[in-house]
Amino acid sequence: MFVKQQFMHIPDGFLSLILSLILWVVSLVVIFLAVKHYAKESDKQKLPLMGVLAAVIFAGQMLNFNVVGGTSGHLLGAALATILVGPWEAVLVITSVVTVQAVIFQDGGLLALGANIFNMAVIGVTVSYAVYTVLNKVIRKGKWAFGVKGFIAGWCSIFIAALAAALELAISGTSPANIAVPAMGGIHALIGIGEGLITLAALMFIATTKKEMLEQPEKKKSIDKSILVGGLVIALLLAVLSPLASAYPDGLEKVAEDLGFLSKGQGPLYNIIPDYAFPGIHDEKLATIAAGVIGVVLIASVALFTYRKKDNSTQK
Amino acid sequence: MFSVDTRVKWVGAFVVAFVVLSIPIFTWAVYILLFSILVALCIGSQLSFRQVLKRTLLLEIPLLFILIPLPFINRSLPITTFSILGLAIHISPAELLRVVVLMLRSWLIIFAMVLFTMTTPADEILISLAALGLPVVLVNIILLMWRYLALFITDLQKISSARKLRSISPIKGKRDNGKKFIQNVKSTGSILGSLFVRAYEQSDRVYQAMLLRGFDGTLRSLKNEPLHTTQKFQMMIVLILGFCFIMGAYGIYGN
Repeated sequence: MFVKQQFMHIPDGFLSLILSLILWVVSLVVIFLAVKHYAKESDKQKLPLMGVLAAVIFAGQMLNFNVVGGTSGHLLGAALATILVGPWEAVLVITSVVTVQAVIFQDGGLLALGANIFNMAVIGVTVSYAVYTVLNKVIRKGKWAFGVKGFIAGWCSIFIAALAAALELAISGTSPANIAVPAMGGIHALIGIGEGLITLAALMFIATTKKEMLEQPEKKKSIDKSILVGGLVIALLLAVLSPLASAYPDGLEKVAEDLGFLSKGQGPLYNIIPDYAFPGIHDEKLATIAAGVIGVVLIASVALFTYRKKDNSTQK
Repeated sequence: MFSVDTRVKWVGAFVVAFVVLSIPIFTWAVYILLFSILVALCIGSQLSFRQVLKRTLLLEIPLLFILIPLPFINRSLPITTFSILGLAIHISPAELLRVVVLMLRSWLIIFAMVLFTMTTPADEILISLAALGLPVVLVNIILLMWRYLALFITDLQKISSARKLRSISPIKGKRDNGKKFIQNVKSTGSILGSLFVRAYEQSDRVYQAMLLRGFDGTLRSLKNEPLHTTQKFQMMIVLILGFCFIMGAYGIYGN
């Protein structure tokens, strides 16, 4: 059977020149910071580890798994690399993998390489690190803890990276956001389960056979704030791009409308930001952006407050 | 093409990508001219055009899956309806044409890159990344990765064969789809886990060997020579040609 493989490597010609160049600049800045961090803090012994880890991730990406309807997915490896060697090193590892795929195997474009590095190495690693760090405070002990944290970090890394790729295609005018976002998001939500389960199984295997591999990065208690700030910036960026989202009703609303029971729904008791539009702002797009930004800031504040409280209680 | 310096080829590949992406979308004359130059380079390098074409078309297939639904689902442009076996099909001709051009643009860039990689040894391409300004640490990681890739792919194939021989193969039967997926993913995870453990142990041996050979974090290669006048001249010609293509495209098609 002919199986189509879902890919996240954007080829040249799909992104506008301006966006390709902007994402090149952003990726180069992050790579520069990662190299600086490596030179300053990393153990030089990590270099061969990063090289062979990149080779394993590359080899691991050749193992496809069937998803649904003749579609297959493969490992991204951002979560695994982040958990095994740390975030900055993982950025370099995934960048190496994506670069060789583009340069030698033409998997992904040359001018689009900046975007691919941004999606897979920058977003993939940032999301994995943010999720894994927060979960570290909630789930701490046991062999399964590594696996569960890895599963969630793996799923989130794939899903958010796919959404970023879809938004880039939408911004470039290649595919409208209301087609690209649900298509990429839908299939990568499933591929993410595969990524999460592979990450879980790999971490469980490592936890059983060579636990020190997982404990070494965990010993480093201080959290890399710049990575968390990066995650927040990505979330804010997505909020700013929210007017690009589909204007059509969501699944439940559409079904309710088609079956004629939409009017039976009761309104809320009170309205703070109704329909994701901040009241008092006349421009619809600006109102949506304001609502998105406020939502991100609120959630980040709650997460930070919970994290600090948990951190204080564990220190006591 | 084989005798041209890798750095010049890099400039050429970037120029092709830049030209294709910066010109107006329906610039047919420029596409034809670029294609003619690439074909001439291919024949001049004594490469099999059929082989190059096959490789580029294989690389285009995944892209086709992404773009092909667009003319059928994009409702923002005028739509034509026709019927096949009593089934009404709605298609947007304008969107179809746009999809064809997008495929053509991406194919031209892939053609240039395939030509580049087929006329340059892989390790030379990777070493030349340092000349493009990529940090030495990153180039070192890439070179190490390239060196150990074959080893881990062989390991992966051995473990996969062992897995198949131990009958961890897809379960037959319609109701087992979930089980099949979980089993497939679980065994993939275990294979990867064992590869990571091997990689971890291997990296330690590699580091010791590197230290014994005097590794101090810098990249040394006999191919890191400064650019000669001829190579600089070739780069200039490529850049000027690229500039002429862009100016010509805007001159002919406007915007």
